[in-house]
Amino acid sequence: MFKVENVKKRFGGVQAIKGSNFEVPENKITALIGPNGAGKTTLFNIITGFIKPDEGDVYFRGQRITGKHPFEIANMGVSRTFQQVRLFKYLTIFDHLRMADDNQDTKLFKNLFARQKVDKEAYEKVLEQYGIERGLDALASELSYGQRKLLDLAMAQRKQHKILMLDEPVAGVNAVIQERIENYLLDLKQQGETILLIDHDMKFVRRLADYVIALDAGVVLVDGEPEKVLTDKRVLEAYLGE
Amino acid sequence: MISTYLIHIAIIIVIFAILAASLNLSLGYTGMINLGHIAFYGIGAYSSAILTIRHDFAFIPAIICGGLIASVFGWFLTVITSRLKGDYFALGTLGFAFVAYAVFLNWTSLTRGPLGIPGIPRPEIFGYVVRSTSDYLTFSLIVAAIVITFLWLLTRSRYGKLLEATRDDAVGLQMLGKNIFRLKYQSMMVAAFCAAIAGSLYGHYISFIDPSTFYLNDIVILLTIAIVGGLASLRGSIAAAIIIILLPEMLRFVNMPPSMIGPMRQILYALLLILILMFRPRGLFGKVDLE
Amino acid sequence: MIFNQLLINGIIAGSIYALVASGFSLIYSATRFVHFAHGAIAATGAYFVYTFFSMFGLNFYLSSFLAIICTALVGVFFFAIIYRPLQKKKSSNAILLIAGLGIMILVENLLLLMYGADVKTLNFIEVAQGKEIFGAIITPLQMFIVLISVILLVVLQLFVKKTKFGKKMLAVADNPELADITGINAKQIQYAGFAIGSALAGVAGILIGLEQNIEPVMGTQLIVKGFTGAVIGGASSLPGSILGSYLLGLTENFGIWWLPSGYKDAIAFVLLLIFLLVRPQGILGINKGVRQ
Repeated sequence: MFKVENVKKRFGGVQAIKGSNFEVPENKITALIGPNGAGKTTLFNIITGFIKPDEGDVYFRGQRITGKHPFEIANMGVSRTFQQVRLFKYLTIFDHLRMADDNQDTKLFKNLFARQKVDKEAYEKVLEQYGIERGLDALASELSYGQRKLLDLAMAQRKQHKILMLDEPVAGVNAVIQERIENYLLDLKQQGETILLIDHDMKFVRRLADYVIALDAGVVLVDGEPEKVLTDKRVLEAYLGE
Repeated sequence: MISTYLIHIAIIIVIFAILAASLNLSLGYTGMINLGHIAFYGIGAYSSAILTIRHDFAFIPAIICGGLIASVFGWFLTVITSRLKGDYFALGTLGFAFVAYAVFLNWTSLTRGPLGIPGIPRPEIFGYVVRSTSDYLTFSLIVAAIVITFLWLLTRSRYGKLLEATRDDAVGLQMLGKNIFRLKYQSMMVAAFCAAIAGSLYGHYISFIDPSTFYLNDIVILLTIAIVGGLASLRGSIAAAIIIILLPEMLRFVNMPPSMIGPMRQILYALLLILILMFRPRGLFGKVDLE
Repeated sequence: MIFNQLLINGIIAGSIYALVASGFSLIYSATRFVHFAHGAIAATGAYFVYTFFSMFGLNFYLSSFLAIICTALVGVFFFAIIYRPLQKKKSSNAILLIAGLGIMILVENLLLLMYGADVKTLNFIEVAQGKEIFGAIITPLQMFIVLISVILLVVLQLFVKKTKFGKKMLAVADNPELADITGINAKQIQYAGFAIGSALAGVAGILIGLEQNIEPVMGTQLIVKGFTGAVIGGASSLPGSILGSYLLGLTENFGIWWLPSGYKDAIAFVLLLIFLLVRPQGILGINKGVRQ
């Protein structure tokens, strides 16, 4: 799905990504792991176009996407969530979900006289499916952190996509919601979704991932089956040496 | 002649309602702290004045051309300020207003500089000339109704929600596949177009324009109206236009030398602006905080 | 020799801008917001000295001294009653900027109300015959202006770099959180920043009053120049703002080779926009208002 080729990035005096090479396989859950500062989120930002790499290229289904704008990459079929949930605080849950549906809304004049009535029932089903406990008219700022994570996930999933990139999908949420998210991701996996995620929780990674890539300064230390990677000496050292 | 005076005030209110509502599109809905909106108002006023007087344009083509010219500048302003945020963005747009003012003042072959442009004709629409003041009020009310209905339709549409999303979290919005730069310049262009229409209405009403109308004092009046009315609220802008324009008119009934009325008016506006920021930053009908 | 004349004019203008800009920069460092009414505060300095010297007939130096104190107080006053309450409410920098715009209009119109729209002159130093230096003409008054600014700027630099209080100020400027942790009293620093910055503005106002006319709207021009000077130099860096101000003074004066003099103010903003686009961190400092 993705191919990252010799990507390097320097911030000020720090070489955050020292030369990253890996591929993300299709129809699998791939996990990026590594200690803090391993460059996981930076790689996410490079892949989705928010940061331009100093060197190297990123390919999405064989097409070079380096230097493209984030919205272009998103429209090619990349869905992504952020570590810190990014929602629109003065908009309703309904507005959020609808925005993720399609890109018809970017047409200024076409929307002026468009019908406002929509089938709200379908959206209410989405709330149920994701376990969002507030109504469609609730503002995003009124939601609890866990609820926001769920809404964020719902949006990323509803948006047209070929891959789902999740930056710490269960960080900071309580056990109930964590389980809900986990089950949900397992369902997606069964349906053959391609998912790339970052997480710190090793148990979570072990239960979910098909393929694990351990990073250090963006460089792949070990990759392969979860069992193999998570018991590898170098990976343990990297974590313990933190 | 009290009625003529009241009609005059009403026309000014209508013009400022259009101006403030259009500012609200970029300031309140899209979250672009635009302090240079008055420049679009000036560009509209000058464009349609020059086009009708020197190039024999009819009123409607002139007002539309004025709007289009202002839109082009709206696009340009968004491009040059695209890397700035927060107060630096605000200062960049304020700078744009200063530069526009300097151009009005110094490009004398086009604008006659400080002498201003007199003799701007009353609008003629399909052979009917809007001559009397009361007719002009009706006319500007119709224009305002069209412009504000357009803005209302725009802000409640799905597109309008995207503008609000740009204000709330531009990064997140990009990941939904929306081009935020395009949203920003479109919003600025629409706002500029509407401000230019307000400017043309003003010029063709007063029949004389000079650079001083499009400077700091009016920036403060406009900001006061937009913020008192409340961000992301069109009815707030309309209500505040009425209140804010009427308020200093009370000064006329106080025994005061005429030379003091001007400064007193501005002092009143400045105080009001500061007080609303301090004690009620959401204004009358505001839905969002100024950030 | 017109080149030399423009050079000297540029230096004279730059000296005054540098005083405004360094005050602005000091306030910006201490408080982290753009004090847009800073130019209007400088204008009050000019009116204070006019009041004491031309209206009350006090000695000029005493008048200047009193005017500087009063200007500093005006600056502190506005900080205490408007900016600080806004800061406490966690208002954004854009709100503080708009409030500053409000204060500027307020002060300008109060001056207009109290002193009228007609221009005032001080007539303290007679406009003497200028001296010729390298074919350019400079009057003793202009030399005096340049000298005073340079002395003050050097003293200010020494104060910030050498005294304990000045160093504290720099610490707050570099890292507001760190300053909180290490127990440096941020509030005290902010007040001091406003007092010193406004006093410098007062000096600028007086110097302008000596050479040019005093009018209520002079504050707008001054903030445009001071702000531009500060930003193109790097808003939180004192030497940067001074450098930027001289650069601005020179650009403006050489600019009127090609443009009518009315564009002087516009030159500042065009220069500002160019810098914000091409080198947003300024010549020396780092401006925080710019997206990476």
